[in-house]
Amino acid sequence: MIIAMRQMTYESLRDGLDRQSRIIVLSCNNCARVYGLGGRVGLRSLADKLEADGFHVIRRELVGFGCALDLVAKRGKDPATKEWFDQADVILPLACEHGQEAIQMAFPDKRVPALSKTVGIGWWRPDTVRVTHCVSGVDLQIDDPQGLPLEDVGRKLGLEVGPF
Amino acid sequence: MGVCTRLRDLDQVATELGSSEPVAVIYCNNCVRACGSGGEDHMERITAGLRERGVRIEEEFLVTNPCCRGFLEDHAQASAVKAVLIVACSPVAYAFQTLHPATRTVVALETIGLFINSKAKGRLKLAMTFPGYEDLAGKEFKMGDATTMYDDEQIVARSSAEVSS
Repeated sequence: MIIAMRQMTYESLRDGLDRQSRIIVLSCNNCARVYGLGGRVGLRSLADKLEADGFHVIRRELVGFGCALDLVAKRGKDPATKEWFDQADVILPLACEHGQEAIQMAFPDKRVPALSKTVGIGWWRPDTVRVTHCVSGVDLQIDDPQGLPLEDVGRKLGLEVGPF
Repeated sequence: MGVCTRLRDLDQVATELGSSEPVAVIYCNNCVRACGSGGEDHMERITAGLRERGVRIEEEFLVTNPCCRGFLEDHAQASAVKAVLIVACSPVAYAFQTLHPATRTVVALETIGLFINSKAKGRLKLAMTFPGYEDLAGKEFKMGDATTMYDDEQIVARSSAEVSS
């Protein structure tokens, strides 16, 4: 599975948003659900906080695979969702960098802030997620088959773990 | 959906497995399908290719999502063999080793990078790479065949020694 982590705190994200913007929070429900940034829990966490702070969240959207361009683009064409995506100014992606890229490709006229950084791949079980291999450009060497827990990776790379 | 892999040279894999010990093969059925490097559609071909080379394959397991270690834990019988071939990305081999440290583990695939895909266009794009494969970043591949680049140019295979150096 792909593992990404938050590049910013909720407060940093909030301070960079315009309160007049119409916002869609769009989450991947595959890897992002497992590493905790997205899925139903991550989606609810961010959207609830934004609404409590007075932001205009017009839709909460869950997509099976954030990195599947077709699935993401379908949201802008399907009659059930098109209206919301036409109206949106900002789409907040709860996904890895691939997911962010797919969303920006599907909706080139929307602002899609980069909220996460993809660190690599690894394995998981319900009580832990372990990073075993980092992508090029991530300055972290892992030699142990056990991998590194997300919390350790976050500490070493200065990234945030879990939902907003 | 996401990890780009490529099947290693079967002669080399067979040499690493040898022909003296019984081998179990664990096939991933997730990302590998998009790359054509494994999964249900390629099990027969890979197993047959290794048997032709003298490998004693006794068991085959198709695992939906073996990077979830719980799926590997369901295959306790894998510890009854001396060697296991993992037809999945590298983290799966790591996860397996944490469960069965005494079992010799060979990985059949090279883990190249991470892809983004468009099923409608039948294309994969290698959006990120792992160390040793940086020159392939941004390349596009036909869905179901990661050995083929956008213009049908073949990827130049690296030896394990080159990749690790």
